[in-house]
Amino acid sequence: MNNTRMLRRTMAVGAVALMAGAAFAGCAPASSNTSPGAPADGGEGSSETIRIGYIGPLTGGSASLGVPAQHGFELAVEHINASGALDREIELISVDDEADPTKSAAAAQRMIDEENVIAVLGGPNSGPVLANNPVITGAGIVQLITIAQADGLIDPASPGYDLTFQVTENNTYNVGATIQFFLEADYSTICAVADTTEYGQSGLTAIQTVFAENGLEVSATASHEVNATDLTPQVLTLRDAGCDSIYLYSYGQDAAVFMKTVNQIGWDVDVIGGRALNQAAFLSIAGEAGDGLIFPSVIDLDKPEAQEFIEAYNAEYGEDDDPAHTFSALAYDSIFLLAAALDASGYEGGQALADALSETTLDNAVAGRSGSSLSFTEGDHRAPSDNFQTFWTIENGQFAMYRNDLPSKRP
Amino acid sequence: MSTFLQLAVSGVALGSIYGLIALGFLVIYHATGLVNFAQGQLLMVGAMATYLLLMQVGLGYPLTIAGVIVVALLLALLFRYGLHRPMVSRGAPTTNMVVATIAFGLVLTAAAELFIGNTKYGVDPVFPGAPLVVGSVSIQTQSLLIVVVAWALVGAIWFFFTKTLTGVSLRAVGLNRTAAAVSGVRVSRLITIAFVISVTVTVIGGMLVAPLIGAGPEMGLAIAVKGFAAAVIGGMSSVYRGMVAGVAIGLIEMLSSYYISSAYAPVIAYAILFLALVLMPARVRQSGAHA
Repeated sequence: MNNTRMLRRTMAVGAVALMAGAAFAGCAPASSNTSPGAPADGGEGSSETIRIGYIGPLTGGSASLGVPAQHGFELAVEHINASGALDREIELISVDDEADPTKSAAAAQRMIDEENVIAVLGGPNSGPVLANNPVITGAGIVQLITIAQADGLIDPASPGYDLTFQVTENNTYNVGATIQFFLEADYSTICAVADTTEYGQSGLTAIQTVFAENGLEVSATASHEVNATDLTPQVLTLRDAGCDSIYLYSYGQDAAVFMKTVNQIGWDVDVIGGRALNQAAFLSIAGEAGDGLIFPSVIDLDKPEAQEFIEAYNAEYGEDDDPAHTFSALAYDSIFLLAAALDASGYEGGQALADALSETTLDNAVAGRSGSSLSFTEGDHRAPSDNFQTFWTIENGQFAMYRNDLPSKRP
Repeated sequence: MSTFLQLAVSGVALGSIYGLIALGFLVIYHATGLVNFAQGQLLMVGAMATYLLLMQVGLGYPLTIAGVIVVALLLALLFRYGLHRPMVSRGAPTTNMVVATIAFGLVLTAAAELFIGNTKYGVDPVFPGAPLVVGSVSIQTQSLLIVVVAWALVGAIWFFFTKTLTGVSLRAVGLNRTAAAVSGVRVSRLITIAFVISVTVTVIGGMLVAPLIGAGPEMGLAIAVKGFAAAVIGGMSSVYRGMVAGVAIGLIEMLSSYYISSAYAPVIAYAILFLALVLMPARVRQSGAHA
């Protein structure tokens, strides 16, 4: 493991030099870290190894999503290769896109032209996935979207639809499950806040649509740039609009700054969060201000598969790497879905792999409530079954499971 | 009224940080004519070093402050002797040096990502506990500290530039290096002092802001852009004008996000910079360098 880390670090140092150079040339840098044992030439995939690509933010503001995802993939690859379940070795090729759509599209081109991958795993940010998906599917390669949640990523009208699959529940699924807290509490003035990224804005749209369908009105909304330095105006806007509950649909660090400001002005308001609050950065920056917040998760601590995964993950990467485990668990399951489909397609990529994925079910997934499953069917490229969602909260500055007995429904 | 005052409190605190960045820009610009675009990353180093020493090593604030100042000194010397002086001695044009500062900043970001981590980390405030409540306005003690320290630094630097021999000599170097050297001023040593002041002020800005927004490798750019705007609006000439401009930008940012639209807040900041760049250069030339 130390060797792996060293190698990764060395490669990353090289990548840094590249990045500095590339930034000036104005082209998109692509830092790669190949897992150990990769063929040095990186050219044609040998008949013994199956190359799978991952494009996600390994540096930059979204790395606290992208790196746990990478670790989830690595752990799954390690487990599958060690088990001998496949008669070939899987090799993971990761390329950093810094959550930048332009760099993500360039990374996709590189996956196709140079890395010779059979499938590409999509990263956690919806904007970059929207940008890289046409490049990947345009080249006839399957994309499995692991964590990115925007509804529009799976669109039957898009030309790449046949080759695109989404493992995670999408924004509408999330919001549809979370709305029960708002329905139960009978709030008079519900408000929402989100960042201006694809995740935030498509989340805001999902909130407005789903709430309207359930007869609830979203009275006021506020937006902010991602990585904001101060959210006082947004907090005061919502306070002065008379909100008695807030749906906080921002990434972890901004959500933390938001909650700190709510606490600072001594505003007593109920806040329910989006799934991005599972980020370690939220916990670290919010401190006590995060206590009591409820948000959706995919981890059910009563499920043996989840317990085993958490134990293995913490042993390998430490407890602070992905303390809520949501992102790494989805990544882990994605590799198992892909491995099952590869086995079924006879290690054939393209449409054959897509056809195999369309018949793949993961009953013993790590993610999801006990009794739920991840499965694709012909014409349905969204994996989570009904009752997939769990809810977590923060107690005394630590992530804690809140409810794993609430219903949730596929949109 | 309470909303307005609450926004104003945030604006002044945030703006004081922009002012510190402006101060960092100005001190090096005065002494060398160089615009240092690594300023944002220097602020980031201050925040990350604070996180590392305070939260990871657990040193407590007195030792952390000392440690962060040491980091600032080392960084200033690295900047001066590893980048600036070699380039000057080879006769590199200023544009090359400006690009070199951008590269220096990128390297600092990458180094922070590699050796500390690439997410955002929470940092404890200097004085933990409930915010101060004055009437209907609540103020985080950290925000108050930012304002006090920032203005104290401006005062100290103003004093240095106008009342001490070294400071006056440094201004002479900025105005006419050859004449200063002929008059017996030790130019190289003074430029090193300018680097130390600039880097230290900026790093302290990072240490101050970290408890409010966390510390992360990518945090510098957004703040630096506004600090640069403050420096330009301040005429690239005066330490306190840069500070006043920083506070003005902070206030405009907060008030416009509330009263106009929160979605346009970043655009407004960039628009201010754009206008400043278009309208200000004439004034910079007119006023020349003075403290």
